[in-house]
Amino acid sequence: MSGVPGTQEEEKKPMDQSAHINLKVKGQDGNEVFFRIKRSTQLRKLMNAYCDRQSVDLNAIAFLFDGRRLRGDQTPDELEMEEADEIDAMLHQTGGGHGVA
Amino acid sequence: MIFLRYQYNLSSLRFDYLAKVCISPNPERLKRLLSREWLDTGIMQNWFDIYLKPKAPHAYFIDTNVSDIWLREDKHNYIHIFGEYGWRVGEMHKCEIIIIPMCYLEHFIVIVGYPNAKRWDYYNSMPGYSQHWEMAVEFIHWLNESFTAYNWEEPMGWRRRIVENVPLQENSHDCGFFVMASVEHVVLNQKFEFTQRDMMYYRCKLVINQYNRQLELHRKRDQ
Repeated sequence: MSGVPGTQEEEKKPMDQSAHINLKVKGQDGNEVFFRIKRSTQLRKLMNAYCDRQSVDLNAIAFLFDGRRLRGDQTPDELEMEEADEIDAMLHQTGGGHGVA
Repeated sequence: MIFLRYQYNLSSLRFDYLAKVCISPNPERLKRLLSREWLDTGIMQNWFDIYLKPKAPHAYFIDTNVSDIWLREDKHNYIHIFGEYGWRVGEMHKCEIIIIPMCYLEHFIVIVGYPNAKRWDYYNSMPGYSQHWEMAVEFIHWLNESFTAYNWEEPMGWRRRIVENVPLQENSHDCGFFVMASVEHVVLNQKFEFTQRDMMYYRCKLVINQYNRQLELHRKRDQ
């Protein structure tokens, strides 16, 4: 019995690894947070986890990849992300005129 | 994959692809935008990407967050985030108009560059406060220096002008929508005939454009 599952595990391992991706989210203060998610998982999960950890509102943050703002329902696969790619988290700036009124 | 990525870098195809698919609307937030909610850099950039850019291929839009990165004296972060794509000076100086929104002290203004006329114009819906103009001058100076690093030195010598008789904001929550309206009128070469009363129209327009884009994306996903 013991040899068979072992073989299966060896075969599974590389597949599992390729299904996952390590991504880094870097904040404006330079802090880096590392995430490992499935390539097919929506980035919303990563965004929520990052905002929870930083105690900030999801709507207040822009997540940028290669300079473009990410959407929560996209996946690393869709965006052709690569291992160790970096996502930048930036605070949105709001304005209404209040600051000078 | 590495080769593909290299190709993307060369042609900026990846950047353009991401610009089309990356948006960040949120239904609750859009609903609030139909009242007195302030506009933010993310939604403004998004509106430029999905609505205005396709109508204005002769215009170059600099990211709405650039002024914030500059105000934080975070030039390194700018280069890190936007890389070579941020200053596509080759495209920029071929364009007729360069749009640069700026958010300072919770107030949006917009700077417009005209490469052919060699001029920077400054639009502020609350022109009574000089600190925004002073900050805009410094911002333009920094932009010019950054362009020089990419071998585009010409803007350094452009004239800087405050545009007078602009439509005025009469409350403390619509500056972002005045910037939207101003940019639309500039890039579509329309006469500046809007007023404070038109800002609800711009709020509705923004929300409708965002929802239409959402529907479009969902249809594509379902296909």
